[in-house]
Amino acid sequence: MNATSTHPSGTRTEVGAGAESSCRLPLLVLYKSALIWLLLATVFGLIASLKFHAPHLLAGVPYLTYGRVVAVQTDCALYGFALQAGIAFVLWLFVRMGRTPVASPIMMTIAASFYNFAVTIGVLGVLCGDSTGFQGFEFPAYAAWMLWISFVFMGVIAVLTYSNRDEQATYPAQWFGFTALFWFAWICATALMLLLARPVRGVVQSSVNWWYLHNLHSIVLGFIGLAAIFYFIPKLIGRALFSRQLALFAFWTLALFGSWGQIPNGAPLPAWIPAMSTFGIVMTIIPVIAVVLNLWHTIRGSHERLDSSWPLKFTYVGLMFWFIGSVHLIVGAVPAVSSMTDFTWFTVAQKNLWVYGFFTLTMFGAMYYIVPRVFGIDWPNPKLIAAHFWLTFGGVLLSYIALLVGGIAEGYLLGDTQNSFVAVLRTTLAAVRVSTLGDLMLVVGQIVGLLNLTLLVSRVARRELKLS
Amino acid sequence: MNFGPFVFIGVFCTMVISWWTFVFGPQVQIGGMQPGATVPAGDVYPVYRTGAQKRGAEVYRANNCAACHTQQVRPNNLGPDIARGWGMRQVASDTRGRYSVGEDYLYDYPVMLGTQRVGPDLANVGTRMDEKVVLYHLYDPRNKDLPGGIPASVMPPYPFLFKTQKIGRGPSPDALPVKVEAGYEVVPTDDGQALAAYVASLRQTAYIFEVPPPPSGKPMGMRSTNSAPTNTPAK
Ligand code: HEC
Repeated sequence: MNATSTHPSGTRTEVGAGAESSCRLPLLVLYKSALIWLLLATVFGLIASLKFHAPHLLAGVPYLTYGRVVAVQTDCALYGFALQAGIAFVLWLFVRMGRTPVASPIMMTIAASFYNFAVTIGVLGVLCGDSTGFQGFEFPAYAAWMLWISFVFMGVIAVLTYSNRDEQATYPAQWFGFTALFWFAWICATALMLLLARPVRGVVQSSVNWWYLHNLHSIVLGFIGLAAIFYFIPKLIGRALFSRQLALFAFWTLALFGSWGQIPNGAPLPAWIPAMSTFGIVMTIIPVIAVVLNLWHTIRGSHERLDSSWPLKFTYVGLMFWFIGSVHLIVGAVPAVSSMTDFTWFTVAQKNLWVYGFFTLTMFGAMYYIVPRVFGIDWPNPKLIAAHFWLTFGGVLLSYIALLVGGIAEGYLLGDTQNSFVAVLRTTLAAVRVSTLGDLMLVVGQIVGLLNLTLLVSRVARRELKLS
Repeated sequence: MNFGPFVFIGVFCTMVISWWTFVFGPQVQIGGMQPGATVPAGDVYPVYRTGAQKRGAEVYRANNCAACHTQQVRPNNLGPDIARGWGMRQVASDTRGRYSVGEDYLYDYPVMLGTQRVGPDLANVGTRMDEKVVLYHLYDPRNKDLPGGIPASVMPPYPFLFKTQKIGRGPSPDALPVKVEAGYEVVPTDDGQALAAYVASLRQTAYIFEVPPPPSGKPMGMRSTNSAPTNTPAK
């Protein structure tokens, strides 16, 4: 099954296996905290969603107003879960593909702990009303700087691990992972400098904010997720990637066009800025086709194997969500559509699908593969994996479809000024309420996932105790 | 062969292109923007917010009202904003014009344009509501006994921006017309008052160079937002 681990020399494999065990401590901290943050994110999401059923719910608690809860949901998901699960995967990828141990497991673990401290402070800050007011970049300066520094620390250790590699040849998956780390350090530094330390004037702030958020989604999360897709799908299906050239072509075109900020058409900026942004997003159709063709040819003829393991299923569904999310973004950027769909649930649907659908599922696929290998122990209960998969998949899909339909209806109805705003709002509420059910499924799914990981960790702990 | 350095340089270049376009470019073009003059009066635009309004903007930021409200009016060809009565600079003959422009946000930090409209756009809400009505709306948006109350609204109430106090020598001039225990009245806290001052000050009505007045000299084609209690501009 593991084409890369059965190296002819034999000894290499052992070095490899030993190398992977160096990930234990960092991965334990990163995965455990990532799952806790994701659970929190989904719980905050559920609270926000419930407020549409009962606007009075928790209204008297200043810490839990709708605005703050929504902001904290985004931050827990992006910084608490996504970046941590992402860095855990990229670190392991560098270790595995480079056949080299983590450069410094202890430093990595310390940096990860600091990182979690920063996220905690940030979340508390936002709940206390200390948000910066920039979307997706709400953490107050004190938390944001700490977060950036600890991220850079983790990134440096990952990059050192990468450059220590024993295996010189590199693969697309490594390129995607490497670029994502570098990219986040850069965009976050830009946002810190230009939004918090020495704020730019007026609407330039909005341009920087949108650029940052779009890059965080489409490049940082997008590339880490694609790294997992390019690594696991060929490997677990047992076939070579159809074309390395095509993967590299997708890599370069995505890096070029995928990073052109998602500036709404009609934003109060000089007209060329939203125009360039729309152009960039529309151009990503090229890499999207390249990725899909490449993986289609890789999988073709082996479809029955897609069902063979949970990691593969997670990754494959993640790929489908990546495709839907990318197409959704492209369609929504075209002015004829955006004039209707901007500022409606349509855009929210895309962001949720991207983070909770594509990214979360690919990272779970990776986690379900990596953790048993690194700790040398099987998942205690495969039924829990199945439950985790179906609840997450079902929840995301339900919310997505509800908000997509609701968003389109909202945009369409708002276009006719005969419909009063409140009447349109009432129509879309039906969709929001269906999506609450999806949010609830997500919460339950994440409880199951966390439970499974906790069971595994306690088994590892018992084993270690017996050994010593 | 080791492609590492090439990959690194390539990635660096793509990043610089993107950064140059969306961060540096806008900064060079409008980062040094100075206040303009209204047309034809020639007054300075925009004017600084008052202390209370600034504090109100902080309350708006802290509670992230922007999660449900945008403050940007798109031009006619890019959305129905003006047709819905959210913009005040409509020029019927002009299909392209831009109705919220950079100048409108010159002194704001942070700029809270927002990206979702669960509620109506607030860029010009000050022309539709005065401070009192905004306060009623914050206290209980769904109370139809209060002016502006909409029973079907999903806007949450913000009770913590108000306090119930014993009526002193006479009822407070700020007291809300709501019934509580006898001998008590509901008044906004300082934060509540400031937020209302900020919201009621939101208006993008000045004609400036980028958005000149229509030939006839008065806005045309305005309609009411149906959620607004009134569409006659408040002073
Ligand atoms: C859950 C989403 C939500 C949040 C959060 C929210 N609002 Fe609203 N708001 C609405 C909706 C929906 C309406 C339209 C119905 C109505 O008038 O109540 C509205 C209407 C308004 C109006 C009247 C606008 C008009 O043109 O009639 C004002 C003013 C307003 N909100 C201010 C605020 C302020 C200030 C905050 C932050 C403290 C805030 N809103 C937070 C949803 C929200």
